Amino acid sequence: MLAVSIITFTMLRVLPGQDPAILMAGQNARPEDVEAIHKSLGLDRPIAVQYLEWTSDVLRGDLGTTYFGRQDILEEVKRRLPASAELVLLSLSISVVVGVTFGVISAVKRNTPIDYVVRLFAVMGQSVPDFFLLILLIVIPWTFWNYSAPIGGSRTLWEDPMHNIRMYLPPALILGIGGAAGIMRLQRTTMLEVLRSDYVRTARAKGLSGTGVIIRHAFRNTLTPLVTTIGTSFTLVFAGSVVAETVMGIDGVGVFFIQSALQRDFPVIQFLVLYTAVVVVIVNLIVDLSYAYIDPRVRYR
Amino acid sequence: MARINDEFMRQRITRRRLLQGAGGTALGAAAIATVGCGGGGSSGGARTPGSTAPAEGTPKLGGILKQRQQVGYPNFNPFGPGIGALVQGLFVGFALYDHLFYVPTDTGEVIPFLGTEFEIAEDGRDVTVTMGEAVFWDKPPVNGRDVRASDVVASYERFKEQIPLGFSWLQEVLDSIEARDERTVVFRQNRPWAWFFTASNAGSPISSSIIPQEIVGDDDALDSDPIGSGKWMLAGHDSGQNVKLRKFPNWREPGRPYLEGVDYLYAPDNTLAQSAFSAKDIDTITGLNSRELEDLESRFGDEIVTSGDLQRDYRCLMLKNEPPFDDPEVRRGINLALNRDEIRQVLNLGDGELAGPLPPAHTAFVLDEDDPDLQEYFRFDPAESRQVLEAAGFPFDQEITLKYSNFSDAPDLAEAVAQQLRVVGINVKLPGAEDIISWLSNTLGPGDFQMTSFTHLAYEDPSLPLSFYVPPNFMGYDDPEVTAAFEKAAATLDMAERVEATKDAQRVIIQKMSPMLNLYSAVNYSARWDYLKGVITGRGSFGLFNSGAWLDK
Repeated sequence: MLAVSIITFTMLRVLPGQDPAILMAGQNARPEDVEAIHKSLGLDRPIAVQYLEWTSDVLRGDLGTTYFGRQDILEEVKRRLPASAELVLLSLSISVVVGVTFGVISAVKRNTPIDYVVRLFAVMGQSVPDFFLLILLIVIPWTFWNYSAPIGGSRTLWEDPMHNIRMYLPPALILGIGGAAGIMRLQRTTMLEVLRSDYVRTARAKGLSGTGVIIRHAFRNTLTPLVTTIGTSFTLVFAGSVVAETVMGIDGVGVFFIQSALQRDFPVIQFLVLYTAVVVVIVNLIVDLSYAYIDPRVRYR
Repeated sequence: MARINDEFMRQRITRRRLLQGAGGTALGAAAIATVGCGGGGSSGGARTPGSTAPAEGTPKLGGILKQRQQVGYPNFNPFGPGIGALVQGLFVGFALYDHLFYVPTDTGEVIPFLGTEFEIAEDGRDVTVTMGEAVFWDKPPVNGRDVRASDVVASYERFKEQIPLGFSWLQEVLDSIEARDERTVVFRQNRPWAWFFTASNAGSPISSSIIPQEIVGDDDALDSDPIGSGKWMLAGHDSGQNVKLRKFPNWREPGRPYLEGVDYLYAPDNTLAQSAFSAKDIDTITGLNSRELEDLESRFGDEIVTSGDLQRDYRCLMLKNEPPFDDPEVRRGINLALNRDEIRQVLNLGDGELAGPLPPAHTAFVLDEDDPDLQEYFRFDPAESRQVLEAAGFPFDQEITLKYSNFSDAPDLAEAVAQQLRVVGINVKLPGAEDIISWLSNTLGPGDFQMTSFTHLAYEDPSLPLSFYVPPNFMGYDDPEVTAAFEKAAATLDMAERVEATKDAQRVIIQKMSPMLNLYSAVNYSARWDYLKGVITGRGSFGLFNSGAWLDK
């Protein structure tokens, strides 16, 4: 986390073409105007001093204000976070449900037409970029039914369920199905491996039903690699949500990040990079801890 | 003190007369975002321009107009910070604050708003504006008091000190501004400046916004809780997105606006906005190309009303005034190699008008289409180009770099220009798109280029596009004849004479083949549902003339 914050902080200030003061001052600005902006933003001081001050502020919960709108960054993130969280969690849920279900079906029905269809969709899901599918998601209903995804801001499920579902479900389906492709392929492979193992053959020989064998014996043993993949999928869905927010006009953290990056709004970029790193670390931690719950052998060690 | 000898001023127009006449129609009609104006013969499909709303029945009061909001506003402060002044300043200037006057570029006519009478001193320096009556919104600390001359003074003084966008009139021409009494404002200029009525708006209603004295220095209030005297009051927003405006019941024009409010719905993506328009989630749509417009027309027929808007921005190729481009013959050769029609076709499906030294949207001031100098400027002849360049000793073996940014279609523009120059044997190197910030600060600003192509901003004052040919400029170009022609136009107060002086300046620029070669301005199309009535089309109407729009549903 420390390394991420230092690298981000330094790169923003050292790489060429990154000076927000020039953007703020406009193309005809005089050097003294740019200098004045540097001073007002505190960018005229040594980078180490700037970094220590920023770190100290962040640790105290003060994320500062945006350069361009003087908006309170913490308030802005808090306002936007529910929208992003709903989109990411909904997408991830769809990824897991669709990926696991069809992965299992594909393994059980291996080398049948069902398997071929599922695998074909898995390959397509992995190869077609999200932004293209998102555009289709707008264009197809618009062309055939004059239907539009809602615009004008987010509303929670409790405020306006229909608006909420219309706004989040379609992009979540796109992101989710894209993420499901990887899960599905992995689930199929591991399931096939488990289905060929001795204990599954033994269970069947004991007379257990096919479904019982698959769910109670085979599926449980595929959970460890599955959870690892879900952790990876989370980061992919998280990244994809930035595109979805931008295309669908969802007022989330991803849009905030993109706007800030384009404007060289350093405090926002610094915080959101750090925030992303924290989220990824937490997700990985949860994945690691879940191994112990899923696999008793890990717990006994 | 004499009346200003401008064409408009000779008519001694007061607001009463304006409301009775054609201008009244303009003021009474609306164009919130559906601005539209086509152009002349080379427009490739532009619609007929118009500035007058057709008779559409008796206006209905009330209703909320729904419009697209393409970008979020960082805050509502016209003083920035920084470039934000342009982003939110345009919005608050159009929507929330009132102005003394405005000059739409399609007509070039001064439209009085809060100002009712205008006088200019014989020496052309002092301009005296008499104000009508208006009140601010009824919010503390202003509490609905009268708008006074001292508010105008305080607003201009802060703009003069702080606006960061290089509005040169404020800094270089305006000496002072004073309130003679509560209803009279005097602008004192250090020299006669014929572009006063556009320059004092900085080419758009940003720096002419009238802000109450109580909050003009209070950035916290300006950021989030502005108080104006415009027709719309800020009623709500989501951190600068999904802005809601509601009617100011005590606006200076009783009974207006007809609408109860305007809701801006945030839709950054063009496709999403078009689908929202088709679903009637928004009532207007702008920024369409001709194919998108045809699609809407084929689907909705007479249910929608469409118009074409010639953009005020314009594309150009800029040459550094250093060898080999310091030779006018070389520049002439380059100009002959440019097929403006083809570039327009590639980038805008052929929709647009070719741009001379002045972009074509400045209709009153541009050279006539059949002007021999302009025809020569637009002439494309690659064979002659090669001959001219050879005669001028152009170094065909030398690699010439064409720099460009990654902004919008700048890479496409650079590629199109480079291909045309390669046809005549020029060894053009495209180094790759620079980040827009880097390009502004490292290439254009310091003039570190041999060639660079880009799209100019939209300028409402004709002097701004011409000022690029006058030192100091990015090209390092200094021609005394060009400068003299520019300054003569700026000092000519009589409108008819100024038009001629401006045309003369353009002819000089062409004859000298000055090193910024303009290419074309694009046409964008707009559509609205037919239940939105009282709308005028016409560039420059923007949100300032929307008080007569009404919803027939």
